[in-house]
Amino acid sequence: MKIRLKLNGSWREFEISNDDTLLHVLRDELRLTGTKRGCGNGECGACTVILDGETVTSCLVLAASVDGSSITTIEGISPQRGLHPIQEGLVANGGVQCGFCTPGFVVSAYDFLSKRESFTMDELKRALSGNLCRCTGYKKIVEGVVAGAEIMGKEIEND
Amino acid sequence: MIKRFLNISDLESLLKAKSEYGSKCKILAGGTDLVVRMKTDMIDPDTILSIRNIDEMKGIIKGKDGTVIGALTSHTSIEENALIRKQHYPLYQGAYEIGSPQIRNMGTLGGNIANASPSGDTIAPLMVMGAKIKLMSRSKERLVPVDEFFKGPGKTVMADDEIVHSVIVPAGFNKKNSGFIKAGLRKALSIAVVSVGWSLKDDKLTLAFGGAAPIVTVAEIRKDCSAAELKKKVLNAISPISDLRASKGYREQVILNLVNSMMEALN
Repeated sequence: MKIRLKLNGSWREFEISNDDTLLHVLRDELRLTGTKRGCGNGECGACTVILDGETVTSCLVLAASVDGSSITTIEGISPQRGLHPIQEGLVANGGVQCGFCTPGFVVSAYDFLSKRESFTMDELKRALSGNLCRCTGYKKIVEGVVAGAEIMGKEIEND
Repeated sequence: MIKRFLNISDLESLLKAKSEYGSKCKILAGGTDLVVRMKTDMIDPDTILSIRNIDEMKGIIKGKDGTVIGALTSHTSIEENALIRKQHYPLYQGAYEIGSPQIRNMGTLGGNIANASPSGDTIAPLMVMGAKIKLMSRSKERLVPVDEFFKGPGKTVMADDEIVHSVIVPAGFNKKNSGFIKAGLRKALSIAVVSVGWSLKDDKLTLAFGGAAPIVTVAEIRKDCSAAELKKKVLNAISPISDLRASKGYREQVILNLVNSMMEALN
């Protein structure tokens, strides 16, 4: 079937088959390979994208079901030149090791930060709880996101 | 291989399609269970009815017999709703405990019910609040008390042409007289090893146990009953299995521990 998606701000139309996941379409058809394929079961968060304003694991989304939807991937968050403040924060704080989980974390953090002006550390950690990292131990990721949030002018409240 | 994929955007078309395709079709709401089961070849549906765009089945409104929650309401919407937190505290806690932010954004209350998992995190909360499930088909609608809805893992009283339309939950369940506790293997993304929902009305304590029998089960006890009687009633209500998440003995012990700590907090 044919579907239309507003992908990172522009409408695209393409042919898919009924069984295709959104992740497959993004990576293998559109070559947007920033979104990673990890567990394939919605547990690791490496494939996180923003669908109609909410984060989802794109490995569990059938592309046929989101005809007409708006989707933001890591390619839509990272600017053409340079880095998004969240990415800058992660780099500066050692929040990236192998890097496989990083796009998913950036998408979750971006969605969380763009919806509020201030947050507590508990709220931030809960917002990132659907993303797994096997390298960093999370501390540096959280510190990196906090650094990014500060660049973005967000306020951190006490828990 | 999905032969037919229908994107449905209104209730009437859904009821019509469900009566036409019946057991041959699967309803796709959030997809957090269905798509996993398709990927692992546990099911291979011929027809998919995708309902994510049926807006009239989303939302939380105050009705005269309680709060009406549309089947397509996401766990995130439930968790963030002030009325739910004030009047249906166990359901707030259940929705809060589900999966991860992404899974809560995708997964729906109706899906959690219709999948009939013995450890569905919203089911024990609905049981202790005496919720009713509104089922609809093209020809009729009916209300089924939640404790009569489940028949086994993945099995319910629903006919092939029926859908879960909404859930009606009596109000008055707050932090002080009700709750839900889940024991999982980690904080996020875990399926409950066991869970306990509870509510207190006058002297009557209603307990519901998740992950401890083929369906979520209920026990009713007096608040001031003896420790021995409590233990006996709890163990009578459950029949846990040993599986990859925990053994039978472990599940029994954890349920008893959760009940005991709840009783201590209550007294």
